[in-house]
Amino acid sequence: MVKRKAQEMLMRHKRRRKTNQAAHEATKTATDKTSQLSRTWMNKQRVLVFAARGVSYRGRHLMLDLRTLMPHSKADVKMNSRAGMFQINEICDMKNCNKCVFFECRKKKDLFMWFANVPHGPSAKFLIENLHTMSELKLTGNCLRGARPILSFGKEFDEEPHYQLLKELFIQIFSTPNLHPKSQPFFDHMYTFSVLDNRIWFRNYQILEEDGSLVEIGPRFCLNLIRIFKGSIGGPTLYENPKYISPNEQRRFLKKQLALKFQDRKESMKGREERRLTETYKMDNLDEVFHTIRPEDAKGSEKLTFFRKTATGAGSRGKKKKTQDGNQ
Amino acid sequence: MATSIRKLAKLRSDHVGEDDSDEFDSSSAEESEDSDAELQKAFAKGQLKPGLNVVTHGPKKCINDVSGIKEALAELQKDLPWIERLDMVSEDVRTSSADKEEEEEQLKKMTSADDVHNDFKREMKFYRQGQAAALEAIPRLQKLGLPTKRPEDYFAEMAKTDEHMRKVRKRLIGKQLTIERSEKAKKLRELKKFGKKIQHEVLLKRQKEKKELMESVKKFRRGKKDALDILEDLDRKPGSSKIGKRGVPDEHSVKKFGKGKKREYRDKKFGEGGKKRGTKRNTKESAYDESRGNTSKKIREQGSTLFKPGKKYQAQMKKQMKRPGKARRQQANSRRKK
Repeated sequence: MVKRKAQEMLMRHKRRRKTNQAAHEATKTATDKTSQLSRTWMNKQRVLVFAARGVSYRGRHLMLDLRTLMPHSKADVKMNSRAGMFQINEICDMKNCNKCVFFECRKKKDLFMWFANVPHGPSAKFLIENLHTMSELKLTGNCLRGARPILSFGKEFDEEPHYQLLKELFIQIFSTPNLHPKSQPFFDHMYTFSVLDNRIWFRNYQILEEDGSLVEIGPRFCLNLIRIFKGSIGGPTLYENPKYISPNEQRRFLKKQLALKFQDRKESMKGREERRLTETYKMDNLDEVFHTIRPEDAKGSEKLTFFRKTATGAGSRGKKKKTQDGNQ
Repeated sequence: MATSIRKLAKLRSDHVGEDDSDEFDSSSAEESEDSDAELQKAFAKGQLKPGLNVVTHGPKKCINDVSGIKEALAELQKDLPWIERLDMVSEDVRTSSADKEEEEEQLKKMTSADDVHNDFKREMKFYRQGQAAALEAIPRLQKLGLPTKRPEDYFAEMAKTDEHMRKVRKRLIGKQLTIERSEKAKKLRELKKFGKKIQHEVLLKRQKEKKELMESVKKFRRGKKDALDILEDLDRKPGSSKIGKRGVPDEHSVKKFGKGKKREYRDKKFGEGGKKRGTKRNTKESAYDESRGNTSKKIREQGSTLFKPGKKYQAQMKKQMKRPGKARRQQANSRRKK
């Protein structure tokens, strides 16, 4: 709380300074527009990148990566999401930010990411899939810290209205303002946003040579759109992804499939048992009528009985004995 | 129909909730009477069927407020020059027209679902898109008079630390080393295998030559052969020194000259090749074949055991089946234990 108060104090100072600056800028932009290229930092985008409590280590690493890649980002402590999501707008206001990237984790495994334009909206909520952070050793590229990225969008972003909106939101959040004090003057990396399988895939490449050879820097992730809201972090829904299946539902489906597999197996076993023939070999029942005692097993007066050959194997021996018996 | 079912569901829920107030109960009772009558009517018409009646939800309706989205977009957009945004919209780059055709064919073959799950293809698509954007954006930046490439002597903090990059390099080198090592080992193994084979062949060849020489010398001693023959044999390559039967042309000459006319005629007249004797005799199989009529008692009783190979042959087979090596046997053991 003490920290928050201190921030508010700072903010008041800044606001005073800002009003002066704004007036100054207004005059400057008018002159700059004639010469196309401004000489000062005029696009004041500030993005608050932070997370809710309970975000897993992967989410935290991704958040840190975004902070290092975006010099125009600001950090804040982890938010206690129990106090309500509308708190985010207040925090952004306090931090003097007009854009927000917010991470939220459910069940310690499903990472959600919010992109919002504060305070008037719109905002979009995504599920993050296939996340790889920048610290993975597989991704071998590197770039200047704070270099401005080129943003590359797939053609799909110009086709549907909700993609157009997302494109504008991404541009405003991810592109580092020109001549930002913390930025570098060279262009050595680019972000690509492409739509595939109804998801948005994010990649960060280093531009190795100017003939177009790239090496991936990271992070890489896949954004599965859930909803677009009219307000910032909330408000009426503008778009809802019809193909989105929540991870809970997905897991439930998988479990159900497993259960079905078991059931299937049990049923097929039962069926097989039912279909199985009880008689494996057709035998004449009359064959067994004369099947009596084997000569070797005969005792005492039984030896005097007339023996027939047995049905299994020992026929020849039985015959021999019989003849012997007959002789006796 | 749907309303009646919904009422049925309501009715059930009413029965379950017993703690409700009296007023609610009475109202629900009225309703239930009402619905009962309705249900009876529906049943009489044959609309209701026995079994569980469950309320079904229609397909999930998803909001897509296009006008709202466009409004929001218009509100969000700012009139900024390109240099502030640096956005590009690009398809993947293709080097030549031939390449393009190939790709299109591939696209036809592969469905998009395949593309998603094939890591290489998917990444290639993103890479291509990035490449196209880079090729377009860099000249544009240069046209604006901005430096794009970092000079060699420009040092600044990087996104990844030096330590991290050292780790990456170490891993890359390690990977390369393992690949090299495995390749080397593979080559060695193959060479070893091949070398052994060659050695064995050479040994056999030498033995054969020696044997042949000794035989021919023996024959010469007995006076069965001319001295010249041996010399010729020695001159010729070993292995081809077969002494054919008299009057029967060997394969070589048949191949070269073909069969004589006389031979051809005789082949035609008397038939050639194939077994002639014993085709009408019984064999084990035919004796066991019950479809042909009576079978002997022995066969009926012992049946399939008659078809097993003889003891002598079985022993031979056993000898041929080698005992596997120690590693294999241990592996098999451990598998059995599991």
